[in-house]
Amino acid sequence: MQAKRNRLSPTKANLIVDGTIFAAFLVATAPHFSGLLIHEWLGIAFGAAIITHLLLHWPWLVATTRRILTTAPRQARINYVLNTLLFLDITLLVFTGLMISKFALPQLGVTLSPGILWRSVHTLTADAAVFIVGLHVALHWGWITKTVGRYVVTPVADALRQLAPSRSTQTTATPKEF
Amino acid sequence: MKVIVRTLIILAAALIVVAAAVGFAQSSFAVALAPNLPAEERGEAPVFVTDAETAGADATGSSVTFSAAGTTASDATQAGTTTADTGAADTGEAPVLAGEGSRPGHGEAGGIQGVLPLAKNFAIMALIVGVVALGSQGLARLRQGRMRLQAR
Repeated sequence: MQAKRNRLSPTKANLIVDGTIFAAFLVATAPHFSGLLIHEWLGIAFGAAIITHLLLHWPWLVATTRRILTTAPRQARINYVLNTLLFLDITLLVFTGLMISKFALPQLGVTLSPGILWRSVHTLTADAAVFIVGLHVALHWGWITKTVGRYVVTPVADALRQLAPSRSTQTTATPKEF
Repeated sequence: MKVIVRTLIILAAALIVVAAAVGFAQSSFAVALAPNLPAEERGEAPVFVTDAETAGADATGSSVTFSAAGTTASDATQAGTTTADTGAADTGEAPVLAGEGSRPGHGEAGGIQGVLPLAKNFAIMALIVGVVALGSQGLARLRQGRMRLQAR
């Protein structure tokens, strides 16, 4: 029973991973803010996090791939096309980032001659990623608001109510009944 | 086991994308897009060029230098695009690309000014979310309103 209670629900795991990826993406889009060293390592970690994100959504990926040309609803098709574009964009973003790396790869003993093309593609894909990630978030906005409300807002509100017992005792309803 | 196989599939898909990008960089289409750009800077892989081919001095071919194709021909055309092109040979300093002078060196954070692009990107994404997500909600409400009117 205890083990069951401690087990992380898939929705909660998705929320944590996706929230972390979004925060990392936001910081990674501003190398002047974090510094180039953190930017590069964050980019590499971002690539790994994207793989985790895809693994977590693997059943959806397989199911939609199978019925994309037949019975998939319009929303799922739009989502699929957008996610494919995002995958292409992020892959190019991470790869070109590695190609123009000044700190991360040299620290690992790999030195590459940075090409202007890779730098241009890196900038282009980074700009595109901001828009595509924005659309990706927008398409999942319903899930985000629902899940954040369930796993973040409600527990925080409950905790705040417990911290203020005098207020709750004045009311007839218990906190769980709210 | 499942996770490993799925990860390999994702990595293979990423590899195909990367291979396509590298293939494009080496294609004649990329050359046509940027004819004045040296092959190395275009992203083309460096190739082995023997001294015999470049200078004709070492006819034995015993010494091999690692060089990039096309650099000798177009380096002159690129003069002026980098700030340190003229001084790098004399001082031994690494060439610095123009416009990088204001960037924080050695991976240092840019401070409070660095927050601005972060805020800008966040604002762009928030705008997209606002327009797309709230716009679709608004459309749904409009449809509901029409349905109610029709029902009446």
